[in-house]
Amino acid sequence: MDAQLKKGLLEVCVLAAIKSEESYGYKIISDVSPYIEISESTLYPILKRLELTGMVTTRSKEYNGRLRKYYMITQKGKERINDFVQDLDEFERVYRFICGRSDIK
Amino acid sequence: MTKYEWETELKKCMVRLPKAEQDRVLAYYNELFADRADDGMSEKQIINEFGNPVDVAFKIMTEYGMDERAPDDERKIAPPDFYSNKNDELVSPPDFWAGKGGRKTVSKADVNAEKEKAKEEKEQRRDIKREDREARREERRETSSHSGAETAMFLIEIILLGGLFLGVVAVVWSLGITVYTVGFSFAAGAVYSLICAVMPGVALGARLVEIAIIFLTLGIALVIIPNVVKIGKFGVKATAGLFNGMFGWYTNKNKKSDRKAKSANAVCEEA
Repeated sequence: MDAQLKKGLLEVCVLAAIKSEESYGYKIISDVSPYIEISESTLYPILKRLELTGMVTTRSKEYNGRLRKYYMITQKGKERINDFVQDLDEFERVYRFICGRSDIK
Repeated sequence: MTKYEWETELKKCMVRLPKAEQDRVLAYYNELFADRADDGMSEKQIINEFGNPVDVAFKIMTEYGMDERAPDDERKIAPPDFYSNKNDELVSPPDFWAGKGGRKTVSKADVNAEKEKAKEEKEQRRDIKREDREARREERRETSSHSGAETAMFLIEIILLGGLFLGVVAVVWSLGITVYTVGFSFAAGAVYSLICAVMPGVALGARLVEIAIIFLTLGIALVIIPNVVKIGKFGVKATAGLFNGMFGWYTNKNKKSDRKAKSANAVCEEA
């Protein structure tokens, strides 16, 4: 998959993983990895970017005697998911166009 | 690789990142590590999952726009001293080379003159070194060989020590001989007095005194004579001990001076 395309997809996937409830690094990887390849080193920059752009917020909570960082989606993050879903219609059209052209060929 | 080693390696690779960011990355990986460990994974498995710390650091650095793996210092290539331009002139490297100022043009003649000068300086340095080495070798040679004064001192030393040695031996043997003489004299005196005492014509009182003296001298003689062999052995042992001691001391002294001379020669050879 194209790196830029994957980057965009991963961002939305991460947002989707924390859409219903706050989550933490390991759980996000576990939730997303069945659908798209993601590693710890890939997730870190994504989370950082999402945090910097205000799509997620964080808080630390004690767990098993240690602090764990939880990520929560913001309104802006939710809007990003909606935008992506809306963009999918356009993608679909482009996809059909590309496939159609390929069939012709 | 252990967790500690992995983290240390990661830290090394992230050295160009701000300290706060490094701490955030480490905290992030610490949390993931703990979560995976809670999930029942071993340290080795987790490290394998994380992957090579260099690659991890590379991904993080890429986010920061630092996409070169090697630190700045390692990426720098030593600039050439001069290179030829289109007009076949030798010019200094352009400004983008680290540590170089403006561009300047230098003629080939200047470069050749510089080279000649450097060659001469090198030869001069070599000559100075050679002379210095020769001088040091000569000095070592002089110090390692015996001068006349040293030989005289050696002879005086030997004569004095030999005299002292002989004196001590003489004293030991004189004492031994004195003891011998005293013992045998007492014995002889006692025998002589006995003969005199038993001879007729001497008063009884005087005979008794004489006999008492005879027993006294005999007693002294009997104490000394049985120990004569022991005294003799002691004398021989004392002489041998003195001889060995002196021989050993003198041999060691010579060995030490030999070693010094050898090491001095070795230094000369190395030089």
